[in-house]
Amino acid sequence: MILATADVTILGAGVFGLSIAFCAAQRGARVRVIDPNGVAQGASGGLVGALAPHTPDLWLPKKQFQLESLLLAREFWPEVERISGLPTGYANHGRLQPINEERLIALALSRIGDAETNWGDAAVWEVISASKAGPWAPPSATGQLVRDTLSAHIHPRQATKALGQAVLELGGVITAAGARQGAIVDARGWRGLVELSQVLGTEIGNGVKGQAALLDLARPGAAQLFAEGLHVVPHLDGTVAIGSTSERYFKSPDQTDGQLDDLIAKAKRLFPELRCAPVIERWAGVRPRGFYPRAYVGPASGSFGLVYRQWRV
Amino acid sequence: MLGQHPVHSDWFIANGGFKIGFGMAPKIAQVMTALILDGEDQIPDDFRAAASLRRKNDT
Repeated sequence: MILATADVTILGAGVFGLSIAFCAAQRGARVRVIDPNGVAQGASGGLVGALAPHTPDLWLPKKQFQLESLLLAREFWPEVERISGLPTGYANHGRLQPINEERLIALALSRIGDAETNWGDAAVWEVISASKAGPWAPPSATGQLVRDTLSAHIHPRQATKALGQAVLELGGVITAAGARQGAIVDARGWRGLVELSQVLGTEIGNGVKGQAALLDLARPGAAQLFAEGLHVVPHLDGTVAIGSTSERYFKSPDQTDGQLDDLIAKAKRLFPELRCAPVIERWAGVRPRGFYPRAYVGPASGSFGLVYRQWRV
Repeated sequence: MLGQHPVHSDWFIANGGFKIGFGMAPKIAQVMTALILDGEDQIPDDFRAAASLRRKNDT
């Protein structure tokens, strides 16, 4: 079926573009999603999918926005599954983090009250004994772990494909090329940020390469783990994902290399439960990083300039 | 990076999200849909690209 006209045209069939298409289509809008590479072919086709919150202290509007999103996710992804008939891998199973330094125990304990204040009844942040957390829990030098129930996880590639199918089920169109009609939404990921930066003559964002691996290890229902910057996500389909590297400079956007071997070795050192699990997929992709404009406009070399600092927007 | 597009003033943008994109997607979809279909702007100032660039051009 060819739509005569679209109310909304979205450039980019990744998680941002398709989530917007999904919501707009649910509202009755006629949506067209244009992506020359198809659904989930960029960073949204990844493997890891840790939906992890900011810490509950030092509350800010961005943290409130993320909290609301993580709570919306509890209904959003099941709705995507219901409409598409496809799995997203979404599971609200929390997260365990080892506390490896004694001085960090007090900080972790102080956040219990911050979570009560800022997360309310939606989720808890607590400090528990690793010895009572079962064999899946990561080793902890202090014997203590942080457990939170706001963290959830998802299978990014499955979820993005499910979103695409849900958009089709709602009457939307996903196409490699087509006319831009109606309201136009640019959701083209890192290549879009690079192109816009060139047009503007100011870098508004860039791409950061990530590498991740999938292990043949069935721990569905378990909490995700996080230690030393490494995410371990036990997917519902009987795999476990580990990731990711963060590479500002890279030659190939989609090839894995020795940095992934190092990451896998580190994961097996930190998390003994992973040691015997075979690697069944190696993945690389480039994630879009937008720059957050700093609130002050200050003198730089005698002139006024906007100073950007990197933040995960 | 949400809201008014920094290059095409009659477009919208939804980009960025490094490491936190999937967690932010449900709320981003909600506020972008409200903006596009209802003209209702609920986007936190921190997430705007266009406003800051306008400010730069003004100075």
